[in-house]
Amino acid sequence: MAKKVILVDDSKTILATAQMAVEDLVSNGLIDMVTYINPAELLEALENGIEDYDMLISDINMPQLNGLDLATKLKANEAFKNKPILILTTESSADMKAKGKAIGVTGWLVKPFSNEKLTKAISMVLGL
Amino acid sequence: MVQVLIVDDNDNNRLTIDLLLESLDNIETCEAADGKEAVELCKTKKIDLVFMDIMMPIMDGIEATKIINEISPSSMIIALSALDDKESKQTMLISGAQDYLTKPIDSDLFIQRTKNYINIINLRQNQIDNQDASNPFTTSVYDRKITFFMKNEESIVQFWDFFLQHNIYNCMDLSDYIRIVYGFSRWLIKDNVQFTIDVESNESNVYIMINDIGSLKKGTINNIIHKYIPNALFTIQDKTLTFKLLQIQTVENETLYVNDEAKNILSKTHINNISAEEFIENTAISILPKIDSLENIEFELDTAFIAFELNPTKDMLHKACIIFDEYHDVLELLVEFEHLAFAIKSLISFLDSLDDEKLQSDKVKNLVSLLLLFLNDLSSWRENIFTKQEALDVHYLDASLLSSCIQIEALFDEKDIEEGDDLEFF
Repeated sequence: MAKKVILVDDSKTILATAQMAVEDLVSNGLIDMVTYINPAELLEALENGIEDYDMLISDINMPQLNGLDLATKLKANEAFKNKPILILTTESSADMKAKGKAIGVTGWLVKPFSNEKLTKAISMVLGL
Repeated sequence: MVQVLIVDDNDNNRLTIDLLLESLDNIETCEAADGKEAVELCKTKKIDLVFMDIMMPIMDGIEATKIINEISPSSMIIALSALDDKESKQTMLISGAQDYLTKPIDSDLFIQRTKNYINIINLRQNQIDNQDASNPFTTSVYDRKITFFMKNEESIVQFWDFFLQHNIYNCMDLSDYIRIVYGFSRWLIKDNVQFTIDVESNESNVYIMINDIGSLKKGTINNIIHKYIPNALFTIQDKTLTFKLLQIQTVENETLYVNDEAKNILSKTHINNISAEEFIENTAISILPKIDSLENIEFELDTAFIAFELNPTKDMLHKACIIFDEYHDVLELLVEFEHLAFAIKSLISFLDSLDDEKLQSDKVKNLVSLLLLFLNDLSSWRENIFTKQEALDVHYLDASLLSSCIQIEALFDEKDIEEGDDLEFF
């Protein structure tokens, strides 16, 4: 069964480049990737039980909701608290990473990213 | 043409070397006054040979040698050391310099050595041909051969040990091949056959030959090899079994370098500093008409990108870039968004650098679709800030837009990315 990865980022360019990056994982049937451009919409769908994931990849700086706040909410939710979250952001300061770590995110990939790194991150998190 | 870089903080020293090199043909020289300049030059230009002074301000020759070795491993670096400076000479060699010359420079020796370096550089670039090659696959191997004389059990162990101890070949499944050669060898020795194993190589392959394998049946050999290394390349001719091994090529993608200003923008943290609402409240009403003009430019640009996709020429792309420039100029006027302007400028200069040859590529379709999405990101940004005024931070897009620009460029040129791309697990 392909694992379901949700990617949320306010930039369509990033959503498209990420989809190109994981093409091999998708065509080999290892993952399905669903993208959201609005984190608030994603949160609502998750909380209402109409959306689910094996791994969430989230940007931080998004206009409607900050990715770390999104992660905090999901980590406090029984249904999602044990599911891995990878932060994909231009933020690279130790401070921000410490915040992410405290919230309980699994990993951190700094943008701009290469196809190899994103594939590697997903493979490692999902044990592919 | 051999590209030579002279690195020295002393103008006279650079001039001396430059004048000496004038007596040689097919050489083009450039100069750098310190290590940092040298590194920057090597990033943008293919350099074959570097003469590197050691003591220099800003960045010394040792540091520069290390970096150039990383970013341009094919450059040959020659250290220029003072006569009495044994220690830094040693450090330079350890850091990756391939030879050294002592200062003050002896002109005859300098010319002679430089000719030798150039011969080596040319050799590395040219096809090799060795008529004495004994492998049946190719004569394009180096003029050297390693021969193992297999006389008894001890010789077979020496053969195996040689490959365990020396990492001269970087081949896929090398140990599988060595084990299988070891197996055949034991068999032959048991049959009291004395034979030789020869190894030849070139840049991409290694050939291992077991000579006089006559006492083993061809069919048996085939079966054993297919069983242990199903995709092995080998041939049996005139009682010689030859394996052809593939050396692993470390494909060096070119790296996309990010300048300091871009690094600075990428590293900025933007979380809830000024919200869109606050920003609009405190911003002079005078800039709002300019914002309105952006929507029109977006529309024109969208049309220009689509026209470019239908007719992917440099000329069409340049037309789109001119419109993109207008967008940039408006953002630059709104001082608050200079980082977005910077990102757009960097994308424009990348697009303008593409020539017709590059635009032949089937990647153009992808490029256009990313450009249209990029434009879409910009118009969402404009709406989030100025229309809906719902962005929590007006700078939310700054770093992200720049990283999109870098990614579009890296994807199109298939380059590695220098900045970012840093993965950490907690």
